[in-house]
Amino acid sequence: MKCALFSGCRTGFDIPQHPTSAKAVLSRLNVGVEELDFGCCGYPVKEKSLDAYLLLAIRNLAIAQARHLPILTLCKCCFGALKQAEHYLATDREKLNTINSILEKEGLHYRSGGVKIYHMLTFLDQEIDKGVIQRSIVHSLDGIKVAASYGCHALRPSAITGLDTQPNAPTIFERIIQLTGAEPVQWSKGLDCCGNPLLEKNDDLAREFVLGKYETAKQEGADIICTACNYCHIQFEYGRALILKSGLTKPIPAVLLSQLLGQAMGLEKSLPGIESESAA
Amino acid sequence: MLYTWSFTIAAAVFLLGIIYRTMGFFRLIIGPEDTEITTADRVKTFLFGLAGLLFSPVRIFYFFKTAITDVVLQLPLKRQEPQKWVMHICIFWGFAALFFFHALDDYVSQALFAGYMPTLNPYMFLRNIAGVMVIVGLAIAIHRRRTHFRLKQITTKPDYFAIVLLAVIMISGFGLEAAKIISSGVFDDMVEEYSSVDYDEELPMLKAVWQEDYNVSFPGETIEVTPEILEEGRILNEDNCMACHANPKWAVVSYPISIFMKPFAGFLNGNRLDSLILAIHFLSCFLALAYLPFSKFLHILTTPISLLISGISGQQVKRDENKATRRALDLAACTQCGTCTSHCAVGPLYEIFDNPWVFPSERVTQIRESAWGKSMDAESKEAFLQGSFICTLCNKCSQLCPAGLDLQDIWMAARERMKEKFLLDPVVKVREICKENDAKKAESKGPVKLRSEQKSIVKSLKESFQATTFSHCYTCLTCTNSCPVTGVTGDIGKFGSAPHQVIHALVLGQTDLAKDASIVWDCLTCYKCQENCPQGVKITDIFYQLKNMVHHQEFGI
Repeated sequence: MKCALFSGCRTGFDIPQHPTSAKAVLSRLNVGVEELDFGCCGYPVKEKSLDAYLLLAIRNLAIAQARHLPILTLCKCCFGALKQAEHYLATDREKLNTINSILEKEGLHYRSGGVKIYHMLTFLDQEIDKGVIQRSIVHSLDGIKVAASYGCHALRPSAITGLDTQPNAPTIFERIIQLTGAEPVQWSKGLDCCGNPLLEKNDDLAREFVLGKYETAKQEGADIICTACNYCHIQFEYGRALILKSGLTKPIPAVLLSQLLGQAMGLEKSLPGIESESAA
Repeated sequence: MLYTWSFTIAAAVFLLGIIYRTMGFFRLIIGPEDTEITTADRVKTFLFGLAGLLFSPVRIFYFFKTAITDVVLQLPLKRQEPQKWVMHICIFWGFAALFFFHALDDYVSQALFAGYMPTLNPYMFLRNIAGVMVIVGLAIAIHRRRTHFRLKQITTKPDYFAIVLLAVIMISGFGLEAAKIISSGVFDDMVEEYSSVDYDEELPMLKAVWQEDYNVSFPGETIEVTPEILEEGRILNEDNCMACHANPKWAVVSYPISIFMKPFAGFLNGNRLDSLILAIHFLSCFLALAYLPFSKFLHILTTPISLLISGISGQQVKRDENKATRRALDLAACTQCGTCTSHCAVGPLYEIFDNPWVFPSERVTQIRESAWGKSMDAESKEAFLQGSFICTLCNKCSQLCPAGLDLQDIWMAARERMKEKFLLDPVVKVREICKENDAKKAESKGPVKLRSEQKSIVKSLKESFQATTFSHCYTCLTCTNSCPVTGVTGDIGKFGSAPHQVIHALVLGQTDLAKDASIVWDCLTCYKCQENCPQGVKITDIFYQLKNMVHHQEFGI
């Protein structure tokens, strides 16, 4: 199987380890990856202008469509933005024509539907045989307790994103984590927002949410927090820096799903938190 | 006389310009003005780094590797886009060859090649080939700028001026050579200076050969041509001329031009127009020289440096002093090639916002011009802010830049500078405006009046984001109960702090109230409210729409 990898803007500078680790995992699972000249998913401009958001999102779908490839996103905000745009244009022909008239300037055209959009989680869950993943685990993460941070924009609105059939009690993230041998914990704030959308807009609130997540995850027995979204991950790094700066006890590490899988598959050299925990 | 004067002026302008620019690289501050790094620090750190280069074999290796692969062969460009590589290599190699071996032939060619004469082969032939290369490169450049849909959008007059100036130099060069080929005046001068032919008997024979074989035109003279005369003349030619002058047919471009010129030879030769073309040729060269420090031509000197820096240090240099210097240098190393803009993640938004500053290449130009002292009007400033903050800092431009610029660092520094000047991200500014409005409204105690003139806004709300659903709300407060923000802020006593209040205000047609509600601007967009609404009200999408509306009102986007 072959996919067009949609890493997302924030991986270019802030978290380059996300695509690197994801590509290593995908290659281990024999998934072909193409990196097309994708642009922004549109999520960052959604609050400025609906048209701007739709143009950017649909442009990416058109690029993938021209190559007949499904899109595989690493970031939940990218996933949600693309899914919503696809949904939106499925019913609004007029908008579709407007967007297409702009895209045609660069030789692109989008036909409604017809582009499969995956997030790393849905891809692993739906397209890859569980046995294949399990067989590629060389270094089982037994005994590590993982708190999965779901990420709002992939989870909701569930009728559009379709991440899990049970949007109020999803298990897709836990199902994948379990394949590594690690143990997912029940986390009261697992489905809550990380606070990143308000970062630099209302820092007090943004801080409150991420600190709450760190605190509860630890209280509820997690050794690490697992993320599968660029913005969530950036937010956890921001929160971690805040906690370290304030001199409180060191927070539990937040790792990307692809790093967690990579570690279990023996692809990652060392991962803060995991290595030491399993050695102990 | 004209030559000496114009050269002296051009060289002086060039030198002063280069000194001015170089000082600027160490002096200009791109980024927050509140910095403790002084010019002296920057010069010192730069020299220190330069000295360090000499002692590090690894760095020396990377220096030469980059110089060969990136500067001379420009392989990254070839990997990116073969057409662009052909274009630039043609201009770069062709022009470099002409500059060193033709313009500076007294110093370079003479020193390197024994018996060098510009009129001998292979120099005559190679000069024509180099000229052809430049012209081919320029033709591709014009073609690209006229057909590539993004390049078309960012190409400005200075880009075309640069192309035209180079074209004038090349075309006048070929024209000059062709005019000299047919010129009887040049022939007479050369005979007088270099030959020892007898004017009465031998000269007509030599003229016959040069007319027949070398395409010289002798207007007003009747030259007798017979096989015997030509034979004699060829011997004379061999004895007197050929040691220093090859057959001009080897000038593969100028010679055919000279054939086209021949019908006008009487006029051309009679007025010695070859000296006029010569003047055009050297004056255009000197103009380019003087123009260099003040135009994109400066990249000829700065881009190799920025390529070497990124070859040795990678995208990010370590020390803050060098970062500051590099930013100023990088701005002057931009060639306006448009690679960043063609691949920009948010570049397509130009079609919607009609704002050139969403394009990275345009922002580089603006930041450079501002740094060198050009002021901006308020409206442009606003648009520049919009463009700057639409950038997602995805780093693609820095990774793709064929000149090796660390654009990411420039964007971040520029944002810091804007913050310092209280030029906020429009997204943040808009929040401030709305929250302020909200506070003002809280003070007025009068009863809320229904306003009918809001109908069109309500209608547009219903149409957009497919948010047709707010009138289904029966105020069950499920949204407010599931809202994490309300959960944290706690108090819903004040209007606008809970989602259901906003929806209810919309039901009543109070769009103004709704758009200024604090919860709209503190919304995390987590979609919990929308997910849980028993009536299917698209609460989060409605909030998005309200924010869109305010952006439209405030910034016209």
